[in-house]
Amino acid sequence: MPRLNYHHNLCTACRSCELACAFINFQEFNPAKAKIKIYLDRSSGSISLCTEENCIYTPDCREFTCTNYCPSGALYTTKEV
Amino acid sequence: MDEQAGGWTGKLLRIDLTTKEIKVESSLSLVNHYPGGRGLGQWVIFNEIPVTADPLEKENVMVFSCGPLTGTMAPASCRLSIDAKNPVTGGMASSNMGGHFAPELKFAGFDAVIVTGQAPAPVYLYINNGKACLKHAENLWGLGTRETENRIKQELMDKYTRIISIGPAGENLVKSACIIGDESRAAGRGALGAVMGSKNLKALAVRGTQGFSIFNPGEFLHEVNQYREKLNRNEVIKTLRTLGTPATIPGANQMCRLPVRNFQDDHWPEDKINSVHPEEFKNNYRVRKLSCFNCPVFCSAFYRIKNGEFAGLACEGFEANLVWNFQSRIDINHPPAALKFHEMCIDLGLDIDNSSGVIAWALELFEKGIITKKDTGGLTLKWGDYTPVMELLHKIAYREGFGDILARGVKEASSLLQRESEYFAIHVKNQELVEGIRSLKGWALGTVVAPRGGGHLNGAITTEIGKLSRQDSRERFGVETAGVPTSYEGKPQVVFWFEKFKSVVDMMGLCCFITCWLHYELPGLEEITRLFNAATGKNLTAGEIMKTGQRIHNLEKAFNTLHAGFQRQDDYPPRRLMDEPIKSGPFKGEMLEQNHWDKMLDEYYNLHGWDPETGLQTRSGLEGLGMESVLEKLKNNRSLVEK
Ligand code: SF4
Ligand code: SF4
Ligand code: SF4
Repeated sequence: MPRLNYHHNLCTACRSCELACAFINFQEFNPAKAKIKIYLDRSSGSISLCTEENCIYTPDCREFTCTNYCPSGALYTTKEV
Repeated sequence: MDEQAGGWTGKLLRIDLTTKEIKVESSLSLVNHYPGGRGLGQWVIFNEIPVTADPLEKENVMVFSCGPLTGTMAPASCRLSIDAKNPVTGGMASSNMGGHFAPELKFAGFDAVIVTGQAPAPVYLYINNGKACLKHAENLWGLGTRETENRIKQELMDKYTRIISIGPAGENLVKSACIIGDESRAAGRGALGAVMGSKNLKALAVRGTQGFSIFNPGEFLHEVNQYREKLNRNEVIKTLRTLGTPATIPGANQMCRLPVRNFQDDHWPEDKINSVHPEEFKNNYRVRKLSCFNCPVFCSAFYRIKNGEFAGLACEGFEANLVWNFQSRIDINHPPAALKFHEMCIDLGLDIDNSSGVIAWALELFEKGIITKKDTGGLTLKWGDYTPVMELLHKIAYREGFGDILARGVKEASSLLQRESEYFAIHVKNQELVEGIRSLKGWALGTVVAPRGGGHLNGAITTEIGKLSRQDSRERFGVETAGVPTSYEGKPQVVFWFEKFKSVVDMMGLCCFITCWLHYELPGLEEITRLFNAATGKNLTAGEIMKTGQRIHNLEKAFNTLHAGFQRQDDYPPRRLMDEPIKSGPFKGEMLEQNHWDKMLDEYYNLHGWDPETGLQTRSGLEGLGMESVLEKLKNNRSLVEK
């Protein structure tokens, strides 16, 4: 089973991942429903990410949709070892 | 949700600040007419603001609107259009902002917010999932925009709230006051911050978790994927991803587009340009790249200064205009000072273009001895000396001493001061000109005839910068010369096209940087049309969409005629740019020549179906666009040409 990875330094806080995740799972534009959440702290410039533990098992997202829509390469998958 | 409303939420909010009445209305009749963004905003202000309205009194109406593509997966679907009557020009204002506010507004269930009246005491508007309320903002009044955002998030106990707000400049009704969102994004031109200030409206805060859907998800996603692939292959986008818009600075200097010392020249010496090279900022101050909502271009970045005079500064920023306005225009070449200017403007809520314009004017007057320390309250103003300029910026925002004069904008300030200072007041339709325009004739025409007053975000053409080939030029615009910078020939046709297309981009809710507005190899009208149709279920042709773009431009023109009385004479560049040639650089000797300008204007008016003699709109022109109600208003005001 591949694993979702996150390269913190590359993330631009664009939230395309949130948007794509919600769209693929619920057919609506609604980042609040995404199983991934990005937060940019505007005083320090640091970004944090959290995902729901079971996110890759959703029936509609077997292909890590969020990584396909991550423009910076911050999200990527690796084979679990 | 209504099937018909795909892409739209179908609702808008109407707030009367005087009576505190808040209404939720259907947006569908509006969006069927003008799909959103700048189109929707201009239609509302055209119909709702009385011609006699003072822009800084309660009769002014502000519209904050999204487009049908805002908040969708279409790339760079982040834009908010803010439209109102313009305190600087007396005509229309429309300013466009990226960030995260607009998508959140749609997720909260609204296509637009219309604000009328004037609150008796400071308030902010809180919008949350289909509802809204006014909250006290006395405790926020006086705060900078960054602190304002933080306090509101604390008060609402929700760090995911998206906020746009004004700083002290807006509160003090400064003519260069803007609106700031996400501590970084600005709706800069047209003193919209002052309009909010006059309404006692400190901020709008929004949180939305209800989302919206579109008509044809499968087709839409297919279009999105194709669009993104085209962006990925494009060289200009690659550069923006690496360096952002500051990447354009060295090239802009080569094309003599940088205003130097208040337009004494449009070209800066190489050593100065090198010291503010985008790589300098990247290597020494950049922490990471950042992006607006759902934008694959991520042209923004977060900067931090670790050492020296401005140590501790940490802020998202900045666009190329910072460098040409708060560096070359006042002849400062010091990147940390540039970043400090940027952060000050964000926090004070000052527009970089307008505030630097009036400051450059003051510096030149001081140089020429027209003003002295007696006028400036003891400040010695000197090209290249940033410390007094920072002091001035502060004084402008708080209207202290000499700052109170500069806070009126360069046109009003020079009329007040006189002493032959008017010649050095570089403005178009009363608003500060942003950039050097003597070298590129089409860019100049588009910039000068822009309804909002001197700006490149309407019809300024980018084909001269990209050097479009003669053949491509012929195919696209029916003229050969779109890519020839110094040629006046054929430029009105190209400007006419750009005006319509930019209106389309602004009404859809997209960022113009991902379209062929920026570079002709980028996707454009066809792609946007397909996205629009898939999202909304409509079946419009590209031609019909362009026609709506043309209508928006005509609405703005009519607003200007009715409210500000602008005519042909207001479509000329500042005198200096027609009298003094560029002094150095590859385009040395170029200026804007009166006889050529006359001819370009004739052609430009004819293309629009306007009257070349007066510059006013005509019956046949407006009838051809189906704009009868606009026609009637102009007729009743005796400013329609009957032909
Ligand atoms: S892997 Fe799939 S479900 Fe999980 S966050 Fe990404 S898009 Fe959403
Ligand atoms: S899509 Fe990628 S770059 Fe954008 S917020 Fe998500 S992880 Fe970060
Ligand atoms: S290109 Fe830049 S300004 Fe435009 S939406 Fe993307 S990040 Fe924002």
